[in-house]
Formats: sequence, structure tokens, C-alpha cells
Amino acid sequence: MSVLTDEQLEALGPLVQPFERIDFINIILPYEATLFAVETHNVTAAGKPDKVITVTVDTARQRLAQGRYLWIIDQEGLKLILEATPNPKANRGVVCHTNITGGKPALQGGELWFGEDNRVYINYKSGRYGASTVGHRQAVLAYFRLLGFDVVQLPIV
Amino acid sequence: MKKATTSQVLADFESLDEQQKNDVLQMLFGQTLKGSQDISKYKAVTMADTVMSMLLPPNGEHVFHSVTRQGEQMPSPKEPLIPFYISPGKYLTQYNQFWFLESLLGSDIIKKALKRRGVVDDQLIERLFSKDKHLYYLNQNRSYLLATSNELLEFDFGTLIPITALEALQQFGLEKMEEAKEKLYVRL
Repeated sequence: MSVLTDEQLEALGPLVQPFERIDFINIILPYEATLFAVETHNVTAAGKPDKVITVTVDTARQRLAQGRYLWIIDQEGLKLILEATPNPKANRGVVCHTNITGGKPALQGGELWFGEDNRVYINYKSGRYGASTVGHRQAVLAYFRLLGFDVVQLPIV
Repeated sequence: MKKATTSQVLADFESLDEQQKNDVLQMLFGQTLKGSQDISKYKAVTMADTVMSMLLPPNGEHVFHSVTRQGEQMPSPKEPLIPFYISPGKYLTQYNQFWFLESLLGSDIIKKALKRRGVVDDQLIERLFSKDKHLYYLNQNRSYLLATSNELLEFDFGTLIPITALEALQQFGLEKMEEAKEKLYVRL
């Protein structure tokens, strides 16, 4: 059962398997589908997270690794995890988007920074669940705003 | 002793009979291969009289995982280990880069290739990617490599230039390709 409305599901969707939108076969390497439930924060269910790493606006605009979070939206809402969360058994050494979903389908995904200016800076950089249409982008921004965020969409360059 | 290239050494090794191969491996590793289940402990070897060096899994074996669509993948317990080594070259210089190949191609394709010939070298890597039908893309000024093309990416980057997987490999390497796949696009 989804916490999103039918209109939100339609605007953000459809639900996709990891890498489906980029036409890659679904290759999830070992431990990249391990669910990091404790480290993941569900904003829709629990509200904005209390303790986050904030960065300067410059850091966010440069999309630096410092303070970078991964976000996804699935049927349970918006979820976040700090990208630097260790996943030592995985080749990458840190978590990826499918560690939020347990390898299951999601609607959207990307990267996020909490700015010192109380804004969140987001992009749609996720090979696993990233947006593929302009409509997706608009729906993602709308959903973030609905959850109370003052959201800034980062330009590509 | 005359210096030999990696290819020459491998060709000579392949021409040996089973007993001779075991003798060579005994000298190199101190143990013999008794079938694929009995893989010895590996170590990196550099032979002073040849230019060959072999990159091997540091803990003795590489575990391939099956691809599934849901949940955690686990190695199949009944599947025999596949012995192989990496001949360092343009695309792989360390064993801990091997996972780029698995991420981009999938373990099944690699395992199939390794069952025929147990060495991962530039030739094999190029052959595997020449068969990969997935297209990558470049923006017009070739400053970004993208893993796909869609409405949103064309909106942001403009008209995209398709390139084959082999071209992406030859021009940018495995790590850039993997990063493009993971994060949609990567700056070059």
C-alpha cells in the first residue's frame, strides 16, 4: 500500500527496477541490495531528520562528496541515507541507492545536500532510479516541497 | 634466458600437457591444480625473465554472484570455482578493479568467457565489450560520458552523441563507464 496519492504515483512513476530506466540489465553487485534500514531515514513517515550533516552552499553547488546523501522515493515516501555510510563488504565500500530499497523497485532517486542556508540541494543522479523526463523532475520538486523542504535543484554544471 | 612477452608465455604454457602444466604451477605456487574445486592460494607473481605479471585474488578465490532481481545475491554453493588470473594491461591494473567488469557486463558473461580461457586481459575485455549492445553517450563538447539518453538528459546536455560500449572502453576506461552507469553521467 502506498503513502503517495495516485496523482503522485503517476507523476513520479512508474516504479522501476534498478537500472531499468537506463536500459542496463539489473546487475546489483554483492551487498548492494542489503537493506540499511537503521541508517535510512524515511522523511515521509518520520518528518525531516533532526541530525544531518550540513555543508556550505558552495560545497553543495560543487556536488562534493562531503555531506552527500542519497535519496529515493518509493511507495513508502522519501528516504535518505548518507552516502558515506560504510558498506565494507561491497566493492564500493559505501552504500548506494539499492541499499535504501533493498534492491526493490522505486520511483525516483538522486543525491542531496543539506545547506547551511537551511535549503536542500538535489539532483537526479542515480543510475538505478534516476528521473528520465522533465515531468519527473517537476514531480520530485513538488514532493520535496510538500514535505516542507526549501529545495534547490542543482544545475548540471 | 631470452625475454618473452606475456602472449608468448601464455601460448607456450597452453601447449604443455597436463603434467607439464602442473609442474610449472608447482614451481610458481607450490601446489598443483587438481580440478577447479582445488584452487590453490594465489599470490602475485612477477617473473624476472619475462614481462609477465599475474594479478590474482588476494584471498585465494574470486566469488562470482548470481544476478537476481530482488534481494541479496548469494554465490551458488554448487558452482565450481573458476580459476583465472588477470594479465594487467590498459584496462585493469589491479585485482580490485575487477568488479568494474562485473558491474558493467554481469558475472554470467565473464564466467562464460573464463571457462574457455582463464585469463582476463585487454584482448578479452575488448572482445566482451565489442559484444555489448549498450550505447553510451557524449555531450557535444565531449566533457561528459552518459550511460543513457532520455528526454531529461537531452534537455540538460543538448543533443547527445551515441558511442558503442567498446568505444567508451577504449576512450575512457572501465572506471569512468562504471561511474556513468552508477550516477547516470560522469565528468571526463
